[in-house]
Amino acid sequence: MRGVRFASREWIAAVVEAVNRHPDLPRALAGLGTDLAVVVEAEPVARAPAVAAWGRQAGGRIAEWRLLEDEDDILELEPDYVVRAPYHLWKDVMQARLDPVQAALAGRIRVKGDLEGLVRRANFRYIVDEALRAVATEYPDEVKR
Amino acid sequence: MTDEKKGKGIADLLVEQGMRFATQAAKTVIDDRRGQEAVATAVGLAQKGMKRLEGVQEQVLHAIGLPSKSDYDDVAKQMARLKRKMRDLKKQVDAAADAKGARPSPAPPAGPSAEDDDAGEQGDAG
Repeated sequence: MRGVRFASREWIAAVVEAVNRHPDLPRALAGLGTDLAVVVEAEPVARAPAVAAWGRQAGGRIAEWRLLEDEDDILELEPDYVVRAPYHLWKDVMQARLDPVQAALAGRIRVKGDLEGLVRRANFRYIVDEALRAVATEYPDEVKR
Repeated sequence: MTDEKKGKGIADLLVEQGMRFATQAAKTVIDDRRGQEAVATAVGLAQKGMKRLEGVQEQVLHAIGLPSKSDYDDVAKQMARLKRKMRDLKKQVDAAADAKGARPSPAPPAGPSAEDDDAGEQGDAG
């Protein structure tokens, strides 16, 4: 089965939908900042383009999100969190080869914002893991030319 | 050259081993509820400390008439806003041109000279 291309509009929509379906999401989001931006840094060798997305939580769910045309839009949006990493690290996280909390603490995944709050919610990681498992993902470096 | 490569290899191996041990240790700590709390508190304290340091740094820099990090951040934010506004304006101009049908068609591929301009669209060769 062919999956949805990683970090494409369709992929983000599918992941957000799956995350929003989780009954534990309101508990996980409670007390966190309202918005977040995620940056996938380009890796031309892996044919992975740069992607920047922004999302806002309200009422215990991801209420809105959008792909950013320009990564610099984040400067204007000033989200509570900015999480940034190169493509291969995101792929490692998606495939459960890398723990995102440890990677953030080691500085491999760069987090701007209240890292303390995120570490305290590390045990809610299963929400994202389950959502990611629900979306068949196609990685650009695994697509045959 | 070979020695250098060998040296790098050993250094890489050491870093890799170190990372493995550190990751294992971090995993053990974070997997435990109390460990997670302790790490979170330590991270919070470190972030608060950094913020305080930045505040002092900003005061010192301002006192001697130099811009601080927050000043640079403000400029970057204004630049980002300008960039976004220009992009929005360009979209509006393009949409207006499209509506009027006055938008020039995309430039033809490089190669043919101006004499070929009247030739119209060219299909695939062959």
